[in-house]
Amino acid sequence: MTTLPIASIAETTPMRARARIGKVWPVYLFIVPAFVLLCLFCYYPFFSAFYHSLFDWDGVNTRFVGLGNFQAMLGDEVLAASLPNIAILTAMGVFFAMTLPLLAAEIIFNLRSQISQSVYRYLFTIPLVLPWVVTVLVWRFLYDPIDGPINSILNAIGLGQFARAWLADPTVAIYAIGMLGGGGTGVGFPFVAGLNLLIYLAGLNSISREVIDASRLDGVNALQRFFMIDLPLIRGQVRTILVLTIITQIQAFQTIILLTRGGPGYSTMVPGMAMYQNAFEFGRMGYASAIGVVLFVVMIIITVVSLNRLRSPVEGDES
Amino acid sequence: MALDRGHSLRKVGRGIALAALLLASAWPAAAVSQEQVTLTIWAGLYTPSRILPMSSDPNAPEVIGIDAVADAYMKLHPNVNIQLIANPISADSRRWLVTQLTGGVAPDIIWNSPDWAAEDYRKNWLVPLEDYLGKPNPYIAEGELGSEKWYDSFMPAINVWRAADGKLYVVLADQIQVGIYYNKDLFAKAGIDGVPTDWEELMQDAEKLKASGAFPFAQSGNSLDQLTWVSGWLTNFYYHDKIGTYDSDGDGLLSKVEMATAVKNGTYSFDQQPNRERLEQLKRFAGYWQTGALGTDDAGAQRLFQTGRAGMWISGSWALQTILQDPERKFDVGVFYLPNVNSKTSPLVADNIPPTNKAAGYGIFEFSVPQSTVERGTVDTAFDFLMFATAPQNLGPMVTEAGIAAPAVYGATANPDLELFAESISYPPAPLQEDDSMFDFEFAQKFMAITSPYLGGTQSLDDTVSRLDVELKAAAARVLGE
Repeated sequence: MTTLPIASIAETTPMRARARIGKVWPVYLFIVPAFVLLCLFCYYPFFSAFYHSLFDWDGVNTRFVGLGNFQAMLGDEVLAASLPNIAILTAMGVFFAMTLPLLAAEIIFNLRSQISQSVYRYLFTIPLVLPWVVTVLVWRFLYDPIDGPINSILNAIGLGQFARAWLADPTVAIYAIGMLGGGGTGVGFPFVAGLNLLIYLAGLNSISREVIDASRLDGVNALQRFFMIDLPLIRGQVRTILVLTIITQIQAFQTIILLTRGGPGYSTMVPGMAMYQNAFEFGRMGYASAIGVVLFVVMIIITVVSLNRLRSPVEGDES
Repeated sequence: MALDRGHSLRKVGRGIALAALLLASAWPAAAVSQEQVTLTIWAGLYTPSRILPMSSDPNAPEVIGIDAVADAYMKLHPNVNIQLIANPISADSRRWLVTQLTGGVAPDIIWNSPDWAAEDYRKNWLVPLEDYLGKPNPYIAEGELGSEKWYDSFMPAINVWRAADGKLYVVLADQIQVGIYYNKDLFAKAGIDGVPTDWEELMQDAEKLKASGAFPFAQSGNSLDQLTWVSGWLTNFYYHDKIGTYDSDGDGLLSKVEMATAVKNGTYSFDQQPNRERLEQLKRFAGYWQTGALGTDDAGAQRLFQTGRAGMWISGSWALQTILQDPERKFDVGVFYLPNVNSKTSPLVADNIPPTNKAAGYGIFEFSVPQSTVERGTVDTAFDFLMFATAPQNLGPMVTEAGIAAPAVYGATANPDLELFAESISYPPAPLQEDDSMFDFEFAQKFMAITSPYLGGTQSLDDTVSRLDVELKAAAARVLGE
């Protein structure tokens, strides 16, 4: 067998590489616009927020204040009021985003008829095409204390004492928003987030048929199979949805700005809303940047912890 | 005064606008640069439907807006090309404008709320009007107010928004008005004869409406306007005898700086008895709002009134045409001004305090010229156009067509529908601004957030006062630049 001398390889490899690049460079050129836009609209604001968090910045004038903005956050009554609210919304958001889609996915997965599976899959995912604002407006109508169906039904069935001004009562407003899935996770109706359902279904479909058949032969019932086989094997999907939901919840305020603008009082205020108000309503861009930086750090910590704690058995073997 | 449904003067307005176009075209041209100039204008609420349809209804009447005036101006000055910006007014308008001003690319003339200008002049974004207000307006007939000094053609409302540096930044040529729309049928059903003449009667009428099963007030509790209009109205009565102590320049109007100084000196706070009583009256007023008012937005409150379930709705002249033309309205509607407060309500309030025009200082013809025009060399043309547009013969038809504001320039014709607000238009500007305008938007938001739990009964007056005073001091410091 003839071998190529090392010197020849050294000479020919760069030439081949250059030739290859010469052939494919137009392909790389296609991603340049996307990359430029990515830098301009995602990475530049991201790093700019870090930089400006150290300044008193109104969008035009800047004055270096060091960690002054972070110090000011410690005494901010609005931010303090927003912390329990974001905890409640995140908890409710995680519940709605994780449990009901999983339940629906399991039911669809275990349907015998392929046609039924498809029908239900479509039924649950069609609401995805509805703009979120429509869902929020529907909820606003439901919650209307005078004309809303919720209070009407409660009154009609003799439970009028539970009727509330759902979005105007500071003791229940935050839970009323939580019922929508928090700040905006796409839960809405029928409380099954379509995207999450699809992710769970994909995970369930990837479970080996042999494993399921073997469990049946061993006499495993449906509940045992769910907890001992399905759930461990779709831990990757669970982790993905958990992390995405927490990140979404912590930064979201779309629902709140549409329904209550953080009120009454600060009863539905969340950090994202406080950040928005400071930046675009009060002209305190530097302070808003500092809030954004803290939210980013919190999200990073939660993400890392979640990724470490929820390693799937498959990943564990690999590592 | 009873109003007929579907009453509209749009066709008349269009006719007048066309007449004005012809009249203005015949006017002698002023001496401005003959170089080719392009003038960009964001006309806000005066944007014509030609470039920005206001309605999806293809049969909706055409809105001429500033178009006729712009055409007439270009005819007078063939070297000027006016381009109107098709930018709708929305919740994002402020953000759009800040972005434009920050980048130095704002149009040459911008539709600008006085509230916004009060913040923006500090960033040196706007051209002060003083140099131009002192010049003659060449488009006003000789001998008329404004022909020698443009400033003289404006009603005093323009002075309400004098900035902390003592200068004006917004050309304010019309005035919106605030009033209480009321459902005459519900008033009659509740046994109420006529309209209330003072605050006590207003509260008594509200009680009667409540007893008859109607909601006395349709209130938007999660937006600032209605709350702060009433709050500011009360302030002007409770603090009437103290205005002189705060008014350091003696102009009869209390500026942001004067009020911030009063806060700094400890002569104005929420812990004073007049302010505590004012808050108590606000809570009394809130007792007559509809169920869930604290979570209701402007549209929700308006819907409640328009569907005939609330006896009163506090709003402004901008809603007049919507109410008049609402085909679903099944009741007779009237308007009355906010009634005076007197000693029947509190011994702290004197009797016979003259009423003031609380909406003075706000309009829809409110325009500023950005500093970027100085660099572009269009600043003189921009002001020349504003002189042309505010000349009575040009302004009147525009304001009449819009039908939601009264002219704030002497000699300009008004929409007859606004006679309903004639009472308030004739009053002098209120010395004290509302809580949402007294300092800055941040204070306004916090005022609402802090008072809401008090009005809803979940927070004590002492706690409310204490929290408000913390924010008051912070707001005063911001205004004074400390």
